[in-house]
Amino acid sequence: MSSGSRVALADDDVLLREGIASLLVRHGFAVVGQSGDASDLLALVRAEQPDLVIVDIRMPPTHTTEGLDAARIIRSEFPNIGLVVLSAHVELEQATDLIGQGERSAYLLKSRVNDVDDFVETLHRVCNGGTFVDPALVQELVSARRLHDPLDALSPREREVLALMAEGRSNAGIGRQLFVSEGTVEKHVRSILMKLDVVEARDDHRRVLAVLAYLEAR
Amino acid sequence: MVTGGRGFIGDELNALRRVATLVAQGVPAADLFHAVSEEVGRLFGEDFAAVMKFDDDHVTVVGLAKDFDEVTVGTPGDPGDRTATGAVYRTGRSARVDRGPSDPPLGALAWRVGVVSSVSSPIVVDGRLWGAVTVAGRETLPRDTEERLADFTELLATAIANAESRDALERLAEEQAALRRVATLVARGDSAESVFMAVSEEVANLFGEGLAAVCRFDEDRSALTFVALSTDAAGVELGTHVEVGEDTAAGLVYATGRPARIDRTDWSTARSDIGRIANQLGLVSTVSNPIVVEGRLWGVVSAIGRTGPLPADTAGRLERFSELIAMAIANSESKTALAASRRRIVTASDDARRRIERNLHDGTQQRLVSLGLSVRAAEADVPPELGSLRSQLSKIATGIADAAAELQEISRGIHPANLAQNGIGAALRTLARRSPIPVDVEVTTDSRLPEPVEVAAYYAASEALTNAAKHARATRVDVLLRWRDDDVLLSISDDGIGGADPACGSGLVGLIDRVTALGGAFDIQSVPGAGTRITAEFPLHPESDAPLD
Repeated sequence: MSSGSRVALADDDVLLREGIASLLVRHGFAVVGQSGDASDLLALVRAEQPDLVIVDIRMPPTHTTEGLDAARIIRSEFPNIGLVVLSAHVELEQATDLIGQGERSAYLLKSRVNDVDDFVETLHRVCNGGTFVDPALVQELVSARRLHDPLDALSPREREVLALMAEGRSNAGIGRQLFVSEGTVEKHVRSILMKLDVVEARDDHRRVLAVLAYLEAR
Repeated sequence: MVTGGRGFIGDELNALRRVATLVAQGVPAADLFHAVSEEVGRLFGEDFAAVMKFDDDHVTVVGLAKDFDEVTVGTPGDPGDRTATGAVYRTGRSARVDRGPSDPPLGALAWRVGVVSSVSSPIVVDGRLWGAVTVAGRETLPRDTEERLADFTELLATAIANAESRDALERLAEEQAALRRVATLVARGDSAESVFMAVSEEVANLFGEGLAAVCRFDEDRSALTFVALSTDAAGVELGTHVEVGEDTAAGLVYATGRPARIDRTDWSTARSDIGRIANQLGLVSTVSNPIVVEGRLWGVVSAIGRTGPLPADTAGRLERFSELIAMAIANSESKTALAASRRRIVTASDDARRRIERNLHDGTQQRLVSLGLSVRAAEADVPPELGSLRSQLSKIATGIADAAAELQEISRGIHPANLAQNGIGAALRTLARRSPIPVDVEVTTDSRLPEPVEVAAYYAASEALTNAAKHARATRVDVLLRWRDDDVLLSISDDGIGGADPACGSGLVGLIDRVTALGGAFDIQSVPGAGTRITAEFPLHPESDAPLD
């Protein structure tokens, strides 16, 4: 379904924006419009109602969180539009802010666009209802040292599975990533949830939030 | 008894010797005046012999050979026109009157005891007519009486001059001691307010009959504020703010920029606020000196008299005190300016770091990402038969991505991008996550702190965590940030080897600078073997740094 998806793109850096746009076109997306700031983006989204919005988090006028704020507005007006927020650096607060608004969202380091295949795949997953958190942030959370770390109870494989859960992958996705069956992944997941005393979430997006919260609070 | 010669010259020499001995012993003036009167009376065989002190419009008996009903020590009187004393008073030269003096009260006495002759000799102290020694005779006094009295008046003049200079010396010593006490406060860098208080007490004791004040002129100088008052000035509040008034010493200083005095006994009709204060304090004499701070008239220091006019030299003697006050103010102002400049330097460097971080992220890094995209696009366009070119382009793209990742790592160390947005708690937790040793973060507030405090606390924690990981061999670190009433306490403790010395690492020094630039306090406890604990306290309202005017 996502092939031919209609995408709106917002970034104040024209060069980068054009680069991403041509990448999208090359991979079969339809770019319905580009903008250099949040208010133009909102107008564009309202006019075009694209399937997906890719937005830089820092844009004029204050270069702080304009992109995230715009995403929030788009989410409330058009809950079905997928949202991909790009950031020069990843922060847990921003990730949970975006993911907390609902599924169909991704919070990514801007430099991920250079891993073209992964990036395109992520866009497809978001269009299909997925949720995605940048692996760099997940890695930071998983590797944070704790004095009595409950993660120490996990096997290395379980830690891998936990990180992929935090990134927003489904059990099937984790299986593909690790070259194991979905059933094996399910076993790992049950074991992890039991060891960490975390309640199974109903869907991927809630699972991401629960795992992120757990990792930060442990 | 009329004697023309010098028959009792031996008696006179003995009398003079006795008086001289008393002078040398420095006996109190009253005793000396009494002794001289007695000696003179005895020498001439007369009852009435007196030492008189001259004031502006009257004479006072200060020594008397023998008390009478009409005249005792302390009796004031008109010098009179026809008395010998009156003549000395008018001319400054010795005088003789060979008939009964008739001016009261001496006249009445003279008439009663039957005085027919009187002689008076001036006491001249340092060129100024101080008083006279007078002897009155029931018989005509010897012709050389004036000369012989002169021997006594000379001795008296010497004694008085000595006593006066002793008093002056004492006063000078007191004044010097007071100045020294105030100067010590100034040198120690005590607050300007405490210097004001000290000066008002010292001035009150030295000149002011218990009253003195330091006042600051308003910016436009038409009004003033009492910034210090001596303890005796009951009923006037510190901080009282009044118009300067044209008829006050402070008003004159304001108008002329020079020392001023007002001698006025009745303030009951004064309408100005300052006049009402004058009335309330019962002041009759005020001397005000300007306080000039770096060329600008800042205020006045005033000595206040309640019983009579203050001494004529009061303004001159106040000058040193006003200079000390000016110095204290200038010190405090330059301290304030210094603190402000340190804050500006820290802020400027923070701004620079923030700018660099943004330029790296939004500029250079972004450039690298779009460059990477172009290379990827080129890679995609390469015909299949040019496989090696394609793999070269792929390598370039990967290299660019690596460079971008490195750049991100660098810029993260330059400025915490999430501090401004998410606050100190989030930023400290991020720091903790990235620390190679376990860090427990406790932040007791979700509220935002002033930006400079957040930034300083962040860097303090960052530096401390780096040290704990690099040098302390710690296995855990506890970071606590607590918002108290007026300040923020940050403490970072580790369980490492201790022995950290600020002198050995510029990191700690920079940290101390940063904390103290905000008016905060920094402490490091690092006993070898007992871990390191760094505490920093940041005032939230550094009022003491507010400029004084």
